[in-house]
Amino acid sequence: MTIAAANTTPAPKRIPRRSNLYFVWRGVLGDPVARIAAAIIAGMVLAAIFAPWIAPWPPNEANPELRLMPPGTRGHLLGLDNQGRDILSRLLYGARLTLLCGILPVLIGAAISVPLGLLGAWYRGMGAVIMRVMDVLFAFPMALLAILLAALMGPGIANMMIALVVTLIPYNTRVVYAAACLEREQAYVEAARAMATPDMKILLVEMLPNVVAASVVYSCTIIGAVVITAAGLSFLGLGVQPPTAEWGIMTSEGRSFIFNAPHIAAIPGLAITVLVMAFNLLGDSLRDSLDPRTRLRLVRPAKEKR
Amino acid sequence: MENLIEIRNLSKTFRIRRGGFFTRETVLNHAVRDISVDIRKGEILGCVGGSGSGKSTLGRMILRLIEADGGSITHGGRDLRRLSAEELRQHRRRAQIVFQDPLQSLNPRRTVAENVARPMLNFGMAPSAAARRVDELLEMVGLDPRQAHRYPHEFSGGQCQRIAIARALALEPEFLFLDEPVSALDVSIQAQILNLLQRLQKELGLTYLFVSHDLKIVREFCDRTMVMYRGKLLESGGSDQVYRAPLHPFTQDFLGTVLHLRRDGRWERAAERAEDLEGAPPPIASEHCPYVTNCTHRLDRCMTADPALLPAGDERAVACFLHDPRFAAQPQENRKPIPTGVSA
Repeated sequence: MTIAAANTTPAPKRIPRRSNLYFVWRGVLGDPVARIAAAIIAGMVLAAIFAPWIAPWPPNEANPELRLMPPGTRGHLLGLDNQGRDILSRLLYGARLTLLCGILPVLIGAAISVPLGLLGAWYRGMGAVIMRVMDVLFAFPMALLAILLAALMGPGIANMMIALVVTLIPYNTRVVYAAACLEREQAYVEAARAMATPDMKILLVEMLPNVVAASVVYSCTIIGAVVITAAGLSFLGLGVQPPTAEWGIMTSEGRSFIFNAPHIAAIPGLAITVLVMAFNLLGDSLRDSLDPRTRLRLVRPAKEKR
Repeated sequence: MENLIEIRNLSKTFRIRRGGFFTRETVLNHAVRDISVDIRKGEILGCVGGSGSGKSTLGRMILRLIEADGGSITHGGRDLRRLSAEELRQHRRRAQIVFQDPLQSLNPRRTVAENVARPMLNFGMAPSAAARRVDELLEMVGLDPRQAHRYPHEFSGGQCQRIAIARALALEPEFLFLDEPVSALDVSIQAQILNLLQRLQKELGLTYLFVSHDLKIVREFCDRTMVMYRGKLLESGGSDQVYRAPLHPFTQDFLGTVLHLRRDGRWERAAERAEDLEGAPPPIASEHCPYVTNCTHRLDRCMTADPALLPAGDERAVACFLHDPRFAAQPQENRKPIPTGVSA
């Protein structure tokens, strides 16, 4: 046993506890799939930030004589759209809004639904009320609810994001609530009560780290759906307004030319697919590296190489 | 010997709601019924009984993890059912619990040091002082403090139970409720943990309530034994006496089950027998002896009245009309001993 072994060896230095961040870092780097996913997301974020410097053309500059030209046209790597705008430039600029619309509502939604789910699981009466309200929201299809809210509040990016947040909350809350209900029954929670841990501390210090992993994974997978819903709202004129570059709008604009110039819709559509997949794969890897039970496996090969 | 905890007429009924909003029916589960027992200072009181006999509920009520419905529990003169929030907090320092599943009772996302330090931090100890105390505690339970940065799942079941014991002792309690502390462990590890518990009990002058369904361990480990069935206390007394000469028919059957199990090792038959002991649910909640459906010594009286726990000499007590001088229909010597094997 390790204890006996450690007792006989001359006192080694006490190994400091490694932080969660260390394991996330190690876990993501150790997993080739996650590494690619992380690289894709990092690349997209960098493209969004540095779009004005790396984009070959301004995003809204039209060049009517070259409209509908396919990828590979001289000076326009990814071709031009129906108005003769450079697709690569629009893709780079569009990354800004697309990432913002995909990530920000998920983050805000998680910030609201994690406490809701935890409190609901702990105080059962409150939980019943919260979950019934969520059931009402569930009754609407995600896209329909978002459309309804966005239409009520009027068009605009901020309103669209509020609509997306409200749409997301029931899903994430249910995930957190289910995980928290499982954790609540664990003996360590009862042990925490037996040692006079205040309720809020049980929720935030003991249960939250066990519950949040489920939410992290779920949030990563839902980013794809949010990007697509945001695109749908923009397409309906409720979100981002047309001249602005955004992948969803670009896809829906290219829809009319799908037969004579398929690249207009395909390229931003492909970009959305890659983004969604990258987040999904990263989410899987994050779950493994956040869980102490599986993350040692991720780190061990790295240790042995040394 | 002085009593540390006095339990009087304690009962707990769980209400289990079934069905939907309109077809709601409430099922009552009398987990603990009218139990009176004393836990003496410095003793190990064993509590045996089948599953669902209310053993764990009893201990959890002492710890106020489950609220009792009726009766009283006094601990060192304080009525545990009438504690203010702060008094309850202070009660946590005096009474602690060790759970059955050691791995589950530790937070998987906190290191061993964090798990063990938590109770001390709750009572305002400085983190550095708590860290030193964690090392002390881990050494006390036979673990290497240098392993404290590891996570619970990196330890074996026995080691996790040592960690859980260290955490329970962190607040220097005088009473430990051991809820089947070894039944999830390998037999070889069980002895180590029991030795540790015994050593700690002597060194720290602790009082234990030791719940188990393993009769052999209770016999070896406990000074006194109480036998529970369906939430009722049927028999109590010194472990040696209860095991040598069980008074209550249930105790006789229960011990017989284990003896049978050890004699020819036919597990299936033994399991059947243990199932039989649980029996069909009694038709009425309280107005008869809880063991009446399976008892081979049934008297007419057992169907209509619930025998009270009466002293039976030698610091023993039993709840059975056979041993109640007022109602015993047959003279003691005429009763046949119960065969220990299967008599289906």
